[in-house]
Amino acid sequence: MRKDNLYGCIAGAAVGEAMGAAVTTWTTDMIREEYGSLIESLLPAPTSTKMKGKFPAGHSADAVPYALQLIARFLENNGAMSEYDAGEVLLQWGADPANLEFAGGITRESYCHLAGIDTGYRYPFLTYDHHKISNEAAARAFASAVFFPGDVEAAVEATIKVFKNIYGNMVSLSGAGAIAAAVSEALKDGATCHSVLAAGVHGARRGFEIADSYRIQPAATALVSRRMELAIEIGLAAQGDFEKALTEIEEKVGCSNAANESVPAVFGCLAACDADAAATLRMAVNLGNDTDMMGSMAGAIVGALHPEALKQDDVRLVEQVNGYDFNTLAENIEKVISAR
Amino acid sequence: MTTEERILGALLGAAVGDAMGAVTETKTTEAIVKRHGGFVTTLLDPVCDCFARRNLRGMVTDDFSLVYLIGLSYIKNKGQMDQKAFEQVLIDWSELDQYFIDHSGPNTKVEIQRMKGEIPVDKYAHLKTRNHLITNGTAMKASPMGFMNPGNFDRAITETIAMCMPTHPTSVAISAAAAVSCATARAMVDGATKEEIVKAALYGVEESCRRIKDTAYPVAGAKMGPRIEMAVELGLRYGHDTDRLLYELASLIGTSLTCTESIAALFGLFMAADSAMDMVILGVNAGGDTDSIASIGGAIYGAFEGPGSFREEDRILIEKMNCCDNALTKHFDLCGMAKDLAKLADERRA
Repeated sequence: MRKDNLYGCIAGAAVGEAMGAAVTTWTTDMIREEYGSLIESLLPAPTSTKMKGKFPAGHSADAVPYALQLIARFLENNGAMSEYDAGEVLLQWGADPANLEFAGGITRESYCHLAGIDTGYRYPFLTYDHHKISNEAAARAFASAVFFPGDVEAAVEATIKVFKNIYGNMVSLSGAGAIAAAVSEALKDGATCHSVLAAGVHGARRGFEIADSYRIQPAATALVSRRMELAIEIGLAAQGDFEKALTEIEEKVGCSNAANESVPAVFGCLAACDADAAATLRMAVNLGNDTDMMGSMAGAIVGALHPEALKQDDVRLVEQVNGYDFNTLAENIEKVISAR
Repeated sequence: MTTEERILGALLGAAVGDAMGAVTETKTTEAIVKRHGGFVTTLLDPVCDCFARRNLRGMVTDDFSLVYLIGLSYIKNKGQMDQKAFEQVLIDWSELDQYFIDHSGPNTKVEIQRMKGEIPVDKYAHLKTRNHLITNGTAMKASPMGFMNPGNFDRAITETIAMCMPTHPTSVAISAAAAVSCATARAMVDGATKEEIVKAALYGVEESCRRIKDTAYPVAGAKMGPRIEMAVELGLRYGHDTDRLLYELASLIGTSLTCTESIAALFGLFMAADSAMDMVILGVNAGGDTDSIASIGGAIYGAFEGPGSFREEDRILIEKMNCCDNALTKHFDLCGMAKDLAKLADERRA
C-alpha cells in the first residue's frame, strides 16, 4: 500500500506538472478558446506559453526534474538530507542550459549565486524582500516529504532545512511547509481530504515558524496560511460547482508564482473537489498563470492520496518522454523508509 | 470647499504619505514598531535597509515625484493629456537622478528604458499575457487623473488608460489605477461619502476593464474588484481596532507592491481612517509598500477632506527637499501647483 502511495505522489507530481506546462501563463479564457474546453490531458505547449512551444506532450517543466534528482541524492544518503544536498544538486542540474532556460526565477538566481555568476540583483541592502516569495520551494517539497509518510512534523522540518538556502524567504518556505505536510499526511493510511487540508494549514504555519528560527529573510506580504484558510473556505462552499470554485479561487486567492497565491489555490482546488484526483488536477491546471507548478503540487498530494486514480496512459507518457521510472523510485524510497 | 483646497489636500496627502512611508517601506508592521519604538507618525530620516536609504528627511520617492511631474504636464499642456504626453512625463522623470536611480519600480524602469530605445528586445514578446505587469507603478500616479476630473469618471478613466499604456498595459494595473482615479474624482465632489468613493473605485475597475478588453494584456490571476471588496469589508469590521485591522489586511489581502495587494488594502484603511493625516499614518505603518499605500490613500483622502489635517511644517520641508530639475534649483511648490491645477480643472469642468 505505502509503495503505491509513494509511486502515486511522484507520478502525480510529474503528470500534473506536464499537464499544466501546456498552458502556463495563459488565462482560463485562453485555454477554453484554444482547446474548446478546459484541458484534462497531456498536450504539447504552444509557442505563446512560457515554454515557447519547445515542450512535447508529457514534458516536465523545472520542478519535477530537480526534485527527482534530489530524491536520487537522498536515496544515495540512505534518507539523510541537508541544505547542502539541495545546493549541490542545483549546481549539477543548472549546469545544463536546457534546464536553466525554463527554470523559475529564484531557482535560476540561486544557481547563479552558487556558480558565482552575477545576477545583477540591485537590493542586497534590504532586510525585508518581496521578490523571493515564489512557490518554487513548495513545488519541490514532495522530494523531501516522501521520506516521512505520516510524520508531518518531520516532513516540514526536513523540507525547510533542505530548501532554506536555495529558497531563503519565509513566505516561500511557509508554502513548502504546507505542501510537505499535506504530502506527508496524504501518504498516511486512513488520510482524508479534510485531514490533508488541516495538515497543510498546520504545515504552512510550522514552515513559517521554522524559517523564522533559522532567521530566514522575511517579506511583508500576505501569509500563506491565511490565504489557505480563505481558499479552503471558498472551495468547501463551492463543492459541486466546479466553475464557481475555479472563478472564485482565481479572482480572490490568485494563481501567480507567489507562494501565497498558488499554494493556497491548490488547497482551494482540493477542498472544492473533495480531493478527487482527476477533478483536483483539472481545476489546478486550468486556473491560469502558474499552472505547471499548481499541477505539480496538486498532483503530488492527490497522487499520494489516491494513486489508483492516476491515468496510467498519462504516467507512461511522462515516463517515456522524460526517461523516468517511478516504480523503481518508489521501491527505493520504501526500502529507505523501512530500514529507518 | 474649493477645487483648489481639495487639490492641495490631494497633493499634500500624496507628498507627505510618500516621504513618511519611504522610511518604513518593505517592512512589516511588527518590524516598523520594533525599529521605531511605535508607529511612525512624522517625517524621519530613512533607515539603512530601505530603498530610500540615500534620501534625507522630507525627500519623496517615485510616487509623488511622478504625481508632481504629471501635474506640471497638465499645466503645460493646458489639460490636453494623451498617451504621448504621459510618455513625455516618464522620459522627463527618468532624467531626474534623485528619483530615477533609487526609486524606479521594477516594471516602470524597464518600460522607460524600452521607450528610450535602451532595451531593444521584449523578452515576453511570445506571450499572450503579461502576468508580471501587475505592480502599482501606475496606480501610484493616478490621483491627478482624479483631481483634474472632479465627478467626471468618463474622462478620468480615459486619461488613466492613456497614462497606463506606456508601462503597465494590463487589465490589473489599469483597473487598479482607474480605481484610484475614479475614487479621487468622486472625493473631489462636495457632499461625497466614503461609501460613494469606494463605489466609484469599483466602477473604475469595471469600466476600465470593459474599455481595454481588446487593447491591453489580460492577466491570469487575482482581480481588483473582489480584492477591494474584501479589504473594505475588513476596514469596516475592524476599523475600531487599528492593530487588528493592520494584521487582517496585511496577512490576508497583503500590502506588497502588487496592485491586488497594496491598492486593494488601501481602500480598507480608507474606510477606517478618521482624517487624511490618519489615512497617511495608517498607510505608513501598514507594512509592505507603505509609501505607495500612504501616498495614494493620502491623495484620495486629501481630495475628500482638503488640506486641514496636514502640518504646515511638513509641506515646507517637502518643498525645500525636493526639486523637479536635475540641477536641483526648481523646488516643488505645492500651493502654486494646486492653484494652477484648480483653475484648469474648473475650466475643464465648465
